[in-house]
Amino acid sequence: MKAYRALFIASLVPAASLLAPHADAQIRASERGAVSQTVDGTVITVNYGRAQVRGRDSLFGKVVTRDEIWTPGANAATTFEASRDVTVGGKALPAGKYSVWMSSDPTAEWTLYFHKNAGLFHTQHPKPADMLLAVPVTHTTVGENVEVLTFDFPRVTTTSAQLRLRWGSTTVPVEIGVKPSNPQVVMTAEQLAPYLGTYGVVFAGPQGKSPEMKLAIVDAKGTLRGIFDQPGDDAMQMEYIPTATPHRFLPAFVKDGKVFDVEMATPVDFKVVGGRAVGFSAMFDGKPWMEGTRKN
Amino acid sequence: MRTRKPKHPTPRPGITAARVLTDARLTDGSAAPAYAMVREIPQIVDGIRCNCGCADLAGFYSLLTCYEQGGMAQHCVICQGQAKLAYTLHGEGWSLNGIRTAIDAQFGD
Repeated sequence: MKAYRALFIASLVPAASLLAPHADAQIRASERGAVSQTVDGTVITVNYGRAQVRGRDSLFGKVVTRDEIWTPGANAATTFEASRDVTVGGKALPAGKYSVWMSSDPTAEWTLYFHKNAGLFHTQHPKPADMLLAVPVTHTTVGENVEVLTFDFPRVTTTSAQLRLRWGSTTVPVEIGVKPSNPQVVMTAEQLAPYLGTYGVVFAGPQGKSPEMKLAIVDAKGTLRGIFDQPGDDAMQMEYIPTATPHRFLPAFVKDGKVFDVEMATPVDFKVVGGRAVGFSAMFDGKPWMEGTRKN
Repeated sequence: MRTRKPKHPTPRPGITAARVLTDARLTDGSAAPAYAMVREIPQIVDGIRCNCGCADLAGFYSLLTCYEQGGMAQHCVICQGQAKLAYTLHGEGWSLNGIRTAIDAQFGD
């Protein structure tokens, strides 16, 4: 009997697929969205259902009730993923993917929560005691009216980014901090010595080679610092960060004595003869774009 | 880590090396090359702040001062290092601003 029924059902499937279109591309009331930001090699990604206000008032306290631990989004819980360890509001959060929850009682302090299970549905509210991390957050209600719930990163520095949630007139910012990927590498005087000196540098461009620029590479407290002589008040400074490859360095821009931008795609290779660099070249996309020749 | 730029002095118009100690007055002859360099470029050295700490002392105007009164530069690797770097870069046509930046990178706080 069971076999006969299974055969009957199976006979209906092809007919049904002819009659009905596939249901995998329907419009959703809250479309899924994602935003991602890289900070010094750490990739931070938020994936969320973009809930809409749709004329509702008193979002917090009414749509999201006072006693609710809600996921800031819709449908499947909002997720937060970090490729490396980060801090959230100054508190440590290991690399990984988490579901995000929030208490948002208008009359109390709000808290952002991270739960280890990133696959929860919005109705599966975890208890605060089960959360991996709880971060007090501040909120304001004086911003522009944002119809579609939005996460973004309005501010990014070399070591942090501000993650911001906006919905209706409410804004909730929280600071995400990352570990520096290229901490300052201090070299010994013997390691620095082959590269110190002055160089003439030319850059390759669409119009041919640039006029020669003057570059001095000095020992800046155990780091290789390059200074370009150029008009204006601020001479451009670069730091050359050693790599695992002998005589190869990553150039990094320096401002106020601190590295703020490492150029990963354009390593500088010094040519060393008899223990002393006679020049260097930097490649981009397989072609040399900067060449230096020792002057002194 | 430096939080502010050191303030370099403005070279005094007409400044010369007349007050730089002569080799005969040096008690440490190994400093003679640095002194010789300073004598060649007093107008440049006078626009550089000394980073050895003496710049904050009364009566010190610039790196040039270190090579004048008392001859303290003959006993100071920073005073001599700054002068040698300034001399090398000036000889290659560097601007005073560029020289100051290179000196700050190597000898600054």
